[in-house]
Amino acid sequence: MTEKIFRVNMTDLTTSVEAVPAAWAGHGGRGLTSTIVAAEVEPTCHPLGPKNKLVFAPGLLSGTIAANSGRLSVGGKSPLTGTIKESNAGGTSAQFLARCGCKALIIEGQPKGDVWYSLAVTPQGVTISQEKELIGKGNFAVAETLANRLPGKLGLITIGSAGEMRMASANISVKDPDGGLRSHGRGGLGAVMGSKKVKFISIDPQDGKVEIADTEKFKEANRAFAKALVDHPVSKALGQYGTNVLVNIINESGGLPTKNFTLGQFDGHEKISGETMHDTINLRGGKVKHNCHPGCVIQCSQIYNDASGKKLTSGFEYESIWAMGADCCVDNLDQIAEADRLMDDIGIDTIETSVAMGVAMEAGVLPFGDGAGILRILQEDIAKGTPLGRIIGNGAGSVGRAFGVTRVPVVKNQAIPAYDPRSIKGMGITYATSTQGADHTMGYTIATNILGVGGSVNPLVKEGQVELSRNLQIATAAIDSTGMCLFIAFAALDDATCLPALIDLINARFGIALTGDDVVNLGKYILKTERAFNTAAGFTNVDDRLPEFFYTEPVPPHNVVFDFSGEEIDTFWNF
Amino acid sequence: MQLTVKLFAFFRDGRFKEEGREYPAGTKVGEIVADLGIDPDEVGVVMINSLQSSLKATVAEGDNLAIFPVIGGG
Amino acid sequence: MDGLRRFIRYKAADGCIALIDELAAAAAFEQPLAEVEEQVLRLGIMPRRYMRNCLSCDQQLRLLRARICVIGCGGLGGSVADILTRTGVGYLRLIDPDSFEEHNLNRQRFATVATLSQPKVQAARTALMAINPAVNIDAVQAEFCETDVLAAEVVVDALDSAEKRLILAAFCTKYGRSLVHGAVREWYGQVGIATAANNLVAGLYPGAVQESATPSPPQIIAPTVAVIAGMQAAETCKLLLGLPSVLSSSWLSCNLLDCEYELIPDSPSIP
Repeated sequence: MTEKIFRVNMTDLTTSVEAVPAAWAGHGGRGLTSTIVAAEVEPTCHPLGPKNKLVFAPGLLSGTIAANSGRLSVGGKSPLTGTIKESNAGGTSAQFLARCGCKALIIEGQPKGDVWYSLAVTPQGVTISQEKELIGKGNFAVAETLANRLPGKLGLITIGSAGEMRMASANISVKDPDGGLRSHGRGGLGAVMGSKKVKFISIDPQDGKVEIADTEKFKEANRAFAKALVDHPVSKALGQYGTNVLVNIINESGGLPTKNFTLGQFDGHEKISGETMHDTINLRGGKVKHNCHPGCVIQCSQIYNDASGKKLTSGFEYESIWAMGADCCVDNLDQIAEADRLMDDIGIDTIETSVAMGVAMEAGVLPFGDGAGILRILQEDIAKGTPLGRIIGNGAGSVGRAFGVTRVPVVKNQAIPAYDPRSIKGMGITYATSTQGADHTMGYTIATNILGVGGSVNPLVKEGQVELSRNLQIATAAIDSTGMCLFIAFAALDDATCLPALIDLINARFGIALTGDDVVNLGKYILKTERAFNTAAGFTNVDDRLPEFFYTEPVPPHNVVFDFSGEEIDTFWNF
Repeated sequence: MQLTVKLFAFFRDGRFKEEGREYPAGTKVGEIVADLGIDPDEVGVVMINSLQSSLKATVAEGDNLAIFPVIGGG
Repeated sequence: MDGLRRFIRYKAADGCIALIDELAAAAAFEQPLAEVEEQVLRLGIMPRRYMRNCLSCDQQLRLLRARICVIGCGGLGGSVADILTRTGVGYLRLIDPDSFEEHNLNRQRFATVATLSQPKVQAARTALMAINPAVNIDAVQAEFCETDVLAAEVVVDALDSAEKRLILAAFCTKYGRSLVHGAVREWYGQVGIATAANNLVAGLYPGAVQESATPSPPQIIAPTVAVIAGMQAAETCKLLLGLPSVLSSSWLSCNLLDCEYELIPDSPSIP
């Protein structure tokens, strides 16, 4: 099936199916969303206005049988950071979009009245439908209702009430194979979808298939690739304990941000750890291993049941558990799971919202450790859009400004996730220099700083951190273009057969002859394209800094501060 | 007075296509419609001597009255 | 563009071009098929599918560049869209909030067993694209709005409610768009061209305000739909091509049972 660009203009409710411009042909995933946003969105536009665009793009390998290739990228200008944004998630939609022949879905413009719509994507293009029944409904109700309304196994991309209310931490949810939800969490692109008045997008690939230029080579490369993934020890740990395996590891390292980033270790870490979670899941008949998209061989997701054995949540991630747990001092995993489910339903980023709760705790809105208070605010304030709910729903920076708090862990107004940049310095460089605000997935130095993957760089010393972050950010940008889950990076960093197999997959898919250098150049191109957008939007090198308190408040147990000068940080961009 | 009444479409069912009919002077179109047993809500275009008119209009001696039903389906 | 034109000339030695060559040109020069067809017609070459259309290349070009909005995608709308797609109108905008139900199968062009419960506009678009991939089609499953009227030069009234027809006619008057009216019931139908001057729709539906009191859907038989939709499509093409029509000063009442077709001159409504 020939790949096309699907475009929807919400101002005049028109759609088109366009040929792929030559300049976009070699891109997929993040590389494509960022290329399109840079080409078509005015960098100075208001993120929630008609000039912003929301771009969905499956990766280069999405829709094929390649292992772990089911990630969907969504891009636009972020209402949270004001920068360019790409967020990717699992679920079935990337594979279905690719099978529709949709290389990218661009949603532009804005309808005038207060009428809501849904989009139906098929290989023929996009149909726009007015939507009434599901407006104001949570993501689970949307998924459930549509399972009955729309026959067949369709892909589903949806926003909850947070997106409808255009909250800056609203996420975009994607249905997984079991009717659970995965999230395009960071940067508030759910608010952009809400600003376009699109409640949900259904995807029906019909009998569409992705063409493979060389089927035999593709199968062969996929065998080598999948083997490298399943053989890696980190992959195995992720399958057994989920990403939450990290609680005890990061706590041990002294880099587990606790009590709104005032401590580096959490007394209650054992109660919320991956090990405890693993035992609890087994005890209650949940599922330790679960795949967020067909073809995943790592299976880091899980199904977590409540004490009565009823499903509470799935895709229960370390960063969510850390944020609601250590950062807010809540040591009750069931309360954290309940909050995770609520945030999935409201459609709001678990990291941003939980860090915002931590700042609100420091402001005295509720006490640290008040898990019940968090659940109450989620249901009574955020879901309903009260003034307090909107302050918290607009993120950690918003809470800090509203309550006059100075210890606000954000970069470019996006909350810093689960790794303290003072005691794991590589992450500090990533947070500061990322083109999209603080985001651990942009250059996950934990691999080398803590897990000993891809060599070893001492997290407490400055040497080597800028180079480490740079290399990882370049590699990540390239991986985010393939549709591959970032967790392939562990194998790619350690197993010499992994990256060549990945390149072979791309070459066999398209009948081309990329080399390792091409992949590195792709990563560099993406970072520079994104940075150029930010520069044009008014960002300078001075925005590539951490909040003041990281430079002045030592964090125990190592009692260290973030001690990179501005000039040192700026050397990141020397490539 | 004498006038010619023409019915169209299903108004003809059980009635007539075209007929000379006798009514008292000053009769209104609506009264003729009622006399013919036609639901006034069903009436679309009414024409008197090929000029569009309405149920409220009064007919005169020798007039040609044409009554069309509302055709609304799509 | 020069390369594209050379390619077209080369493939159209006999003055006609086959779809397969147009598709090859679209792929090779990375142009939408509609753009290829535009270039083809500007070169005085006839796409093979229009060979027997009795229209000149200039006329086909005029149709290709036309933008038509069909309001209602049931019996009349579906058939009008089908005919206009085959004739070569370049842009169709289909508006209808409903999905196909079993009682549509008796007369609606795109209602099939397979499309039951699908949005009418979506099923229509899928089928129309299979008929003529050079046509751009927007499918909007919603009530019509002013934007839809603004998007087109000619609007086709294929609605099933008098109230909605009056609102649509008001929009068309407001924005100066020609409205090709059509309506059916049993063996009877009517067609006409509503303009700001003739106030046609208001004249045809004098009691539209009370209409909600009689909600039962009308009985309609397929031949009536085919006749009226055919006439609406013909009038639409004539408007686009600047051909004169007697319906610019009268409307046509059709009775398929008695084979009576009566032209009724427009006249200002007398209160």
